[in-house]
Amino acid sequence: MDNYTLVPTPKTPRLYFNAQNGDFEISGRSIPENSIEFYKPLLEWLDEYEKKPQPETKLHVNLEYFNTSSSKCLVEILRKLEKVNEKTNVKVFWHYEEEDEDMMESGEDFKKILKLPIELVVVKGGG
Amino acid sequence: MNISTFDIKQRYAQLTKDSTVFSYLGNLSTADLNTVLKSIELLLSANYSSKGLQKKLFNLLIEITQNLYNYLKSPVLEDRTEVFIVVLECENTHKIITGNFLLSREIASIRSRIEMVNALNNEELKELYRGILDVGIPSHGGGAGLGLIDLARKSGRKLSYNFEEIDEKFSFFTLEVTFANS
Repeated sequence: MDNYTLVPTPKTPRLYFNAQNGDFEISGRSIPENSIEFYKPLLEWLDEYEKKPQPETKLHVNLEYFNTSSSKCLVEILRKLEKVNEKTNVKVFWHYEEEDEDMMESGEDFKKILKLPIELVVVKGGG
Repeated sequence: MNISTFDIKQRYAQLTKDSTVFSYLGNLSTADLNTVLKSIELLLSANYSSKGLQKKLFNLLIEITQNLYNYLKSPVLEDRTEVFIVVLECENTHKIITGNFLLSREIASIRSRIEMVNALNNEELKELYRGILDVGIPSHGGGAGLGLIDLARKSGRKLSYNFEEIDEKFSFFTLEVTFANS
């Protein structure tokens, strides 16, 4: 299957979902007014990926900002990965800048809600 | 009650004084929203050395302006689509104040949602937020269910608000989100 990639914009993140090696990344900003519309194609792509996943899937979430409507979509994305995780190994890395407590707390929110190995990774020296 | 003299410009002028960090009065089309967010961001990166404070302010302002933007799409507002967004700094706190018109019959439900959020402590807010997030995407789209909770959680303070009757149909809603600088 094809990879799913999108370049970042001031309001939407870079999406890099490699079907061949299971390397996934969401990075930048996720503050679109209509998050559901933005993430729908990715959710559909993940439905396909889940049918034949790689032995190892790693998702790096490295967001600077995200709005509450995006947080609902992130839950949906991670739910899809929960399903993948029933078949093969999935690991999620939630990156946050040292001084960004809100982003750290968000990582903890997802960790609490989902049955997925989510590792919080602190990024030092943001200024 | 007849308060037909209500003037959003006057109210805006009262709020924007020396301690104003940012202020906007006008409509909130998609282009306006983008301009507002862009100017806020430029202003924050030029004037704030603390990355933590920059992020906190921008986070709250994104949520607040997008809440307003979504609300203003409602056709019931007729031509009452002017809003203001004001950021003030005083005594080691920042205050974000927004003002917009709404249908008076919506007051009860908005008031009860704010009061519900204000009645919870931080730990309870966190639990509620996680609970709603866990339920998944609601049918109506927007982020309304989480927006107020997010504001209360990130600011760490109670939300202040006020409703003023304008005429038999409309009222003016002011929302104040305050948070400590450190």
